[in-house]
Amino acid sequence: MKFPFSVAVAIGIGLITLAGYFLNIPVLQTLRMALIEWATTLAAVALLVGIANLFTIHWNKLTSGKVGGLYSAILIVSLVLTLGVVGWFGPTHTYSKWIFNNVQLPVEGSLLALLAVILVVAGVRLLRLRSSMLSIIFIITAMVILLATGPLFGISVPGLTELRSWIAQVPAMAGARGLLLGIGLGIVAAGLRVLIGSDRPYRG
Amino acid sequence: MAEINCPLCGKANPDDFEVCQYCQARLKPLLAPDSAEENSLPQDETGVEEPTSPAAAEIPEWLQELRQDEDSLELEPERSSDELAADISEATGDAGSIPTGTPDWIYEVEQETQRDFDHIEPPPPSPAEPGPEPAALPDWLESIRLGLHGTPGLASSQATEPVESTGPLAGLRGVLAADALISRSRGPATRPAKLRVSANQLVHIDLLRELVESEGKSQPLPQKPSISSEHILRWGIALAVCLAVVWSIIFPGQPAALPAFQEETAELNRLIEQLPDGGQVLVAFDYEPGEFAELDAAASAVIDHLMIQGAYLTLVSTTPLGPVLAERFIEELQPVHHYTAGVQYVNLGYIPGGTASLVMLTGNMPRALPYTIEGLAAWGSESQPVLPPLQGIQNVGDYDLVMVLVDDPDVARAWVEQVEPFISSSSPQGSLGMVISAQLEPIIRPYYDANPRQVHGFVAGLRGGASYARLNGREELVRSYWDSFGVGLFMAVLLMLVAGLMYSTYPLLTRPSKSDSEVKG
Repeated sequence: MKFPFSVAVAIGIGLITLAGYFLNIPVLQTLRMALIEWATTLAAVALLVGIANLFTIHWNKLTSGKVGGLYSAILIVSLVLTLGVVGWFGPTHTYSKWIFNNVQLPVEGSLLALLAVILVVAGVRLLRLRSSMLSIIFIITAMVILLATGPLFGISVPGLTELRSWIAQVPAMAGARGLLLGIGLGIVAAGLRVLIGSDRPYRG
Repeated sequence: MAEINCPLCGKANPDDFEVCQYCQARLKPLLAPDSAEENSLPQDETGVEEPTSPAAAEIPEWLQELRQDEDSLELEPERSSDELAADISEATGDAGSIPTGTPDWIYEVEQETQRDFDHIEPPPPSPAEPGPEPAALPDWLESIRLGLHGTPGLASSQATEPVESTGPLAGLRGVLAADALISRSRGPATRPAKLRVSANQLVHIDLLRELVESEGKSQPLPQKPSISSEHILRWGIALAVCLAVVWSIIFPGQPAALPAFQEETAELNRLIEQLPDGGQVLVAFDYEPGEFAELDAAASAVIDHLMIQGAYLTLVSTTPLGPVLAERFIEELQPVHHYTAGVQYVNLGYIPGGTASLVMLTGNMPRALPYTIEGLAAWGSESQPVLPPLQGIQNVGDYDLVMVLVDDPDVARAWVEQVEPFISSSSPQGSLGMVISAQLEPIIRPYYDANPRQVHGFVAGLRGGASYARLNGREELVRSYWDSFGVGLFMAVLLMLVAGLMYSTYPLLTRPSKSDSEVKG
């Protein structure tokens, strides 16, 4: 079996970090913190590399005259402009805040606001496309939760709030607990695979 | 006119009739006996005279010529296939054409061999050299030859067969022509090439041909209508929801009651109330800008409460845009509380490394986050003391309360699982509170219901924020969105209810009645 140096490094660092959680040995604690600091530094560098990669891809798209070059041009101009303003004036300056409050927030907020309309359309279409018992239960549950979440403007539906609480705390939480258990088992399995060298996500 | 009796029915017919006029049996044989043979052999060796046909004398001339040609052919010695091929070529006048029945490759080989032999001059004949002496035939062969000629039945039946002229079998009739028959190549038997195809198969063939031909052709995409029923449905729903929300903003009616608080909300309120004077709180802004509307609204009452309590705030984030969101959030509350950066609060900015970097908060925070977002040395320098919100702080366990504003389940889980154990173990007063998106409530609630609690109190969504504001007596913070939020939800439920009723009853209304189906049946 081929056992390259990178696998040995990954397994060694993983074992040291893991042991630092369980063993109260000063050397291990110091090593663990030092390794995590390296990881955060590398993550910050990776963010810069990602920005550079994004710029390169769209620059090539723009210069090669491909379809969608206009959008690449808009992205590059926005990137350079924001980088220049925030880099020159600082992130808390009025100009930087103006870009964030008047461009970034409205754009992202509008995209998420569309989700509300899309979910209502999906709820309306669900019974037309698939009118099964499960679909009816799903729609009724969604309507109960929505009605009990917002104000009813003077309309009193007895037991509605209690029903919402029961749905949120019993069936929904049961599903969430199962989800959390599954996530935990998955993380343990993934970590063990990396530690024994079976999974090598760091390989190029 | 002479008559001839039918050999089948025995009735008399005129002698020029080919077939019997009564039973249609042939009166004259197709192949008449060889006249030359008959003439030459009027009487065989046994003395029995061969019967002669009465019509032999009246055979037309063309038929006699044909028979003479056949006789001459029979008398000729057997010829090789090359000679026969040459004769055919001569007769057809096409010397270069391939003989019928000969494969191409054999014909080419024969032609090449013939060309090779053409270059070789035959040796001159030597007249003085005598030919081989005739071999003495064995007795049994002589007896066969004599026996054959002495049998009258055989002689008559073999009269039309050729006579061997050379070799030891010379004089015998019916000898198989070895050279002419064996060496003559034959092509494969020809089969009828035309397939018998039914009409149904022809239809399938045409379909297959059309399919194959259409493969290479680009088919134009079907034109979709610019406005379909789906478009109308979507635009109609969006318009209804938006109009309802805008209407409630422009024409506010009777304000709706705020919701009653839940246990987890009251618990968070209690934690903030118990903060000491000048307590230090770490606030993490871990949500994306797209979620700002919900999270800002949900958290406004909570942060407002913290500011009322006079808490020192330390702002951090594991998302790149979190620090800017935090600055914006503090600015929104500035008209009421006048919090100053570096005095009442400090923004330590972005923690790179995502959730993995949360562990660094449990270690040496001055080393992990040394500067503020403005670039100042947060933990003091030679010319500057430590900023008030950070005095006495070395790690996350030193804070009185850690408040996380989060919309992502993975990030929320990382805070609970990575940071909370350290907080609980460091200080009995240390607590973890959360302001979460409504979608995270089922994920976070198990941590709240755990024993001991891993989340000590939380506010979920707009409803939680509104209930917290009501609990804290700060209803004006949520009044701006609570009514509109309720109208939008009510319209969404109404639309789904109407659509559900319509789609569930429409098939019943359009279903054909029983009498109609019976009439059709």
